[in-house]
Amino acid sequence: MFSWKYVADYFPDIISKFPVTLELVLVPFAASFLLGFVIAAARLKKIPVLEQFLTVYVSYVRCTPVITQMFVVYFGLPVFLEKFGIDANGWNPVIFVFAAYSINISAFLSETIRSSILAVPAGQLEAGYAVGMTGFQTMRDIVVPQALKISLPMLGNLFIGLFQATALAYMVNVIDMIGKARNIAVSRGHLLEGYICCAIVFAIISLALELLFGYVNKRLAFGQKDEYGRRQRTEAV
Amino acid sequence: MIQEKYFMICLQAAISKIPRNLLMCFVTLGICVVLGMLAALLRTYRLPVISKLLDVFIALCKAFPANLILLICIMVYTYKFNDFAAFFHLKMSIRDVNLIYIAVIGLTIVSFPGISEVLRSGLIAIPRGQFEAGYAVGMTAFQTFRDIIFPQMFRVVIPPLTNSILSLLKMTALVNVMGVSDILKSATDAATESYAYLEAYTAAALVFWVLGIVIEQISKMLEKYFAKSVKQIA
Repeated sequence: MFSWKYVADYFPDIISKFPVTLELVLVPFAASFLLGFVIAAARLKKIPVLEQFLTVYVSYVRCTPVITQMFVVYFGLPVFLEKFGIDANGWNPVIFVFAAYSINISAFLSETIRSSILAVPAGQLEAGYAVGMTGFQTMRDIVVPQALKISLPMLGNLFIGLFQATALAYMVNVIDMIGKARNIAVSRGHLLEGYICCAIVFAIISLALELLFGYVNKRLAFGQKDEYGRRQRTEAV
Repeated sequence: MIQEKYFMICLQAAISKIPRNLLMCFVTLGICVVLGMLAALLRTYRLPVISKLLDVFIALCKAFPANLILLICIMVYTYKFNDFAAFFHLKMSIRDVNLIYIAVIGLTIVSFPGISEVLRSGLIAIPRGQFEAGYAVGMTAFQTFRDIIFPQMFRVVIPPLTNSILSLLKMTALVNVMGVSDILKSATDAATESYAYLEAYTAAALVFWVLGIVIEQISKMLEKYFAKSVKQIA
């Protein structure tokens, strides 16, 4: 029967797999940050064929569940790589999860980055040109920093969403916290206790991340209007 | 590469389960909208104790991964249902209950916070003057809400609510961890003999993609329709 004793018993074993979960979050997020910028740039520049392809790509990722995306990559990537003479059958399943989540998050990130760049007033770009900066310099030094500040709340949500989505990785035989809980349950029973243990870890980290992002947002929110339309800090005229 | 024969078999199996996924999605949506609207009203008008409790509850709901909530729901159900039935003197055993109900309960827990937040943001977007105007012409609070606030709120809420519906639809793919046969599960079940899993998952993804696009287009049409009533500058 259910008992909290087992939750406490299993806790050290399960938390020892936390680095795997962390890896599953950080590697795809870093990869898709780069990818997201490239996709957003390509869509903003309206490069002919690439733009249509990326529109379809973003639509696919937005409208299909992560779990199917993960399995399509898990079963599809080896078949795809075989064409180039690469044998991916013995690879660590973590690699497929990295690839699947990078595909997933990069699409959402690119949408976020794109809308934030569009939210920066056009005058900022023109001001950059007016003082003789090149297009790339204006983007790098003026537009993107402001866009990042605008996109921070959405980035925080995406990060927390990705963290929670890693709870699916056990399905492709990655031994993360949930995979560990299932392994323990095979030999010692009490699967529910293992799941609750994982749920507690996930909840604590998610809540901590939410508080952290909330704090950072508050610190960075100067000069923007708050929800009542008042300026939070008056600027010198 | 993808073999067409197996792909078609999986696609057929997946398509046959579309009504079930849509049913789960929209029943959950209905429950969430009703509960979420109540929660949003309570939180916007800051009813002393209850609104604080709701804040905590919603923050907690958001903190758990969706599939863990579903897994825990189904396990608690299998462990506790007989005690529960005995407590209420129900003459039911665990086999009499369709798992879909449990899936809907799980999905409601998962998507309630998001939908409630969306409705709250819609409620905040309506200027205070609208309430006051309603009172000024002698309407009761309920009448004001029903005839003035809600129609305006509905228009504001369409785009974010579409996102919620999409993510809810995608979440219905997770119910196969509970053993409910949905689009994804029936597609993969059709592939067990041939081991054509790539075809199965591609077929399921395709079905979800089409459903998602349809929902997006409907929402765009609704948005356009309701935008008629808003005055445009010039």
